Amino acid sequence: MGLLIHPFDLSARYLSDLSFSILFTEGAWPRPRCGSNWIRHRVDEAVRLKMQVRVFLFGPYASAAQAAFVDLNMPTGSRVAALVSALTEACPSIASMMPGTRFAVNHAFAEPSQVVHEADEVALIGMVSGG
Amino acid sequence: MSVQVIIFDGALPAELVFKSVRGNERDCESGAALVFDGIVRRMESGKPLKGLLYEAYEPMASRILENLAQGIVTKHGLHSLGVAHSKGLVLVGQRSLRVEIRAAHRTEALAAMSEFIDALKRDVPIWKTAEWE
Repeated sequence: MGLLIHPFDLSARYLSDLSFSILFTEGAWPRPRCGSNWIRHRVDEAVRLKMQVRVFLFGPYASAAQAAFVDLNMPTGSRVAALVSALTEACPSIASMMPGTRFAVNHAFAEPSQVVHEADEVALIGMVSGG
Repeated sequence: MSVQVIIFDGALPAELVFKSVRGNERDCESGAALVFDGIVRRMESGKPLKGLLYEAYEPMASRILENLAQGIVTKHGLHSLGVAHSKGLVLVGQRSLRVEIRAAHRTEALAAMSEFIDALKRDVPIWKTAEWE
C-alpha cells in the first residue's frame, strides 16, 4: 500500500488544497487515462466543482476593501485556510491586515482546517475592537 | 447564576438596568456589586474625537458575549453578570459598554470583571471606527 498522489488524479479539487489532500492508493498506480473525452470530463468536473463563497467584512476591513462583502469563487471542498489567499487576491487593500486574522463560519470561530460549503455564512473577523 | 446580554442601538442610557442581575438584590446574597462603564474619551492618539462608530456582527456578537459571560460566571462562582454594548454612533462622553457583576465577595468579582472585559476585547466581533471632529 502506498501513500501516493497520482498525477492523473490532480483535478481542480485536489490542486486547490494540496496541503490538506492526501490520496491513498493501494498497490500499483492505476493505468493513466487519456483521450479527448477524458479531458472534457475533467474540465466539466473542474467547472462543476467550483462554488461561490460570500465573505462578509466589517469595521476597518470593510473600509479598506470599500465593500461589505466579497464573493469568492473557490473549488468545492476548500478549507478556511484557503480563504486567506483568495481574499487577499480579491482585495489587495486588506492584505497587510490579514496576518493572524480569524474567520467565522455560521457565526462561530472556524479552525483553518474546517471545510467551507457554498451555503455557509462566512465572515472575516480579524482584529476586533469592542469596548 | 444568571447572565444577560444586550446589544443596544446608540449610547447606553445611564439608567440602564439588567433585570436578571438586579434580581439578586432581593436575595441579599451578594456582598459585592461592581458596575463598569466604558466611556468614549475625547482624545485618541493626540487628536480630538467626535465619537466612535461601533459595528457589531449579529447574532455572533450576542452569542459570543453570552458564552463568555456564562464561562466567567461559572469559573468565578458569580451570582450574575450583565453586559450591554452599543452599536452605531456613540459621542464623546457617552457610554458604549456596561458590565455589572454580583458576587458573594469582592475578590472574585474584581477578577471576573477584568477577565471578562479582556475576553470581550479579544473575541467579540464588534469593531469601532473613529469619527474625528
